[in-house]
Amino acid sequence: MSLELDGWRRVLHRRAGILAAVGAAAAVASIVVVITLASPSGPTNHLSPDTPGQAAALKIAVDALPPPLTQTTIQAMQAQGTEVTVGAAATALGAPAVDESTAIATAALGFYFTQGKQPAEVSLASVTVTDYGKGNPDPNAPTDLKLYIQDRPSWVVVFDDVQLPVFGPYVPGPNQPTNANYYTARLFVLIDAQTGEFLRAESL
Amino acid sequence: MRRRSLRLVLLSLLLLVGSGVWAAPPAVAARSCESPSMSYFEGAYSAYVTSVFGARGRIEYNNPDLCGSDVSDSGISIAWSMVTAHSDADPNGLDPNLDGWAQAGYGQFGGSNLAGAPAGFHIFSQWTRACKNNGTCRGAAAVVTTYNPAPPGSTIYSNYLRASDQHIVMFAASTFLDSTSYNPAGDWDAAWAGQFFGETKHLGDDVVGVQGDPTSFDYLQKYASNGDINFFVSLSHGHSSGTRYHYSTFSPSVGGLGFRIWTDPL
Repeated sequence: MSLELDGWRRVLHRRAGILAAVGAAAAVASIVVVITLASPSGPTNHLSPDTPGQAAALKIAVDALPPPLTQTTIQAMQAQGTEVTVGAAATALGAPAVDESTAIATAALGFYFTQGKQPAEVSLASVTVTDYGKGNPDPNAPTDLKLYIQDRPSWVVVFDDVQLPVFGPYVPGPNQPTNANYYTARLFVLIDAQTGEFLRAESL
Repeated sequence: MRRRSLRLVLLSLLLLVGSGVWAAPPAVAARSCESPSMSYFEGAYSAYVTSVFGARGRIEYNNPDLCGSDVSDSGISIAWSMVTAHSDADPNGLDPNLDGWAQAGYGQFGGSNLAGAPAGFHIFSQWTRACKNNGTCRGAAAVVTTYNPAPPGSTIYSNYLRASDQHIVMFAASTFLDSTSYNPAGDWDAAWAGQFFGETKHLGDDVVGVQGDPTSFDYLQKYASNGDINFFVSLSHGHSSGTRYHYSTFSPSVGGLGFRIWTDPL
């Protein structure tokens, strides 16, 4: 695998400078970064013609460096059980092994509905997800949750206006198939800052 | 002479191709993702009764093929268990948009061959907020979805009312995925149902499973108010596609009812 993202920030800034010089200061540089992908790692696909070693290319448009998480976002995440600490407390955890651009690419490529989308906000943070972990599925026993994500150095990548699929129940009757429903929401994606591993995503 | 031999060889090759003796290896077509997308189901559901307080089922893990290619997939194929109810304001379910639900399962939501990215496979949970007064339970303010790393294999997906706080919790085996933020009493009608389905958003998407390796659903069980777990004794077949997706029942060794789903290859 090779992610040809090296220097994309530098190129982005250079492009912005050129635009400013010609009086297009309001324009934002738009750069297409081609990410070369190879070596599929998913489970065996019974029907797919894909073979190991097959390479593919995807394009991610990067218009601007996303700003950090806002307090509004942090509060919305907290209201749904994801506690995010940014700033000095997060940087005190040490330098991330995974850089921001790689985390963004990983988050964007994880779902078809985020592919090609610009993240609205990104921050390095210490993250604890209070409603996700190993628990006791006995309905009469305490859940006794052991959190999977606790004080984890993570990149928090937030996408706005994502068209997420509504699943919902089957409705018996003659009106099948039914129109597919989608809802437009913010989606945050957590990427482990040390390993680059996808941790969790949730709509807000 | 050499030119004549060459002509004969070429003619022979053409004849072989034309007769089907020598054919290119079959390729799996990159089926199109038609628009508008629809919701196609294949699976089983229970009646709505007041004795159901949750549902769970074990679902085999298989890899579907989606519309588009497996690199740039834009389709969806999921398999799930669910507990659902009509709205307290619409107990006969005249408006399906008012139905509430909590569900857990797995699916593919993106390309499976994107190195450096989570491979499109995820466990998910989805539930509706209290929504009977909103006019719909399918809008942006009504639905919460989580996506989590892929399951290791066949997994029991559970959704049930937790006694301690009367919220519905969603599990994949012993992994707690999420819980509703409210007690559904007063928002949901008292009669609940269990559902177990494979689902796609395009006919070009496969439901999980192929004829030679269908996807099994078993441990199809319901929760009672005291937390007891019993097998469903009656489930109805639900489906949206007449020919593309398939269903058959079997008697699982674990007891209760079981079924398998699969997709016909094109």
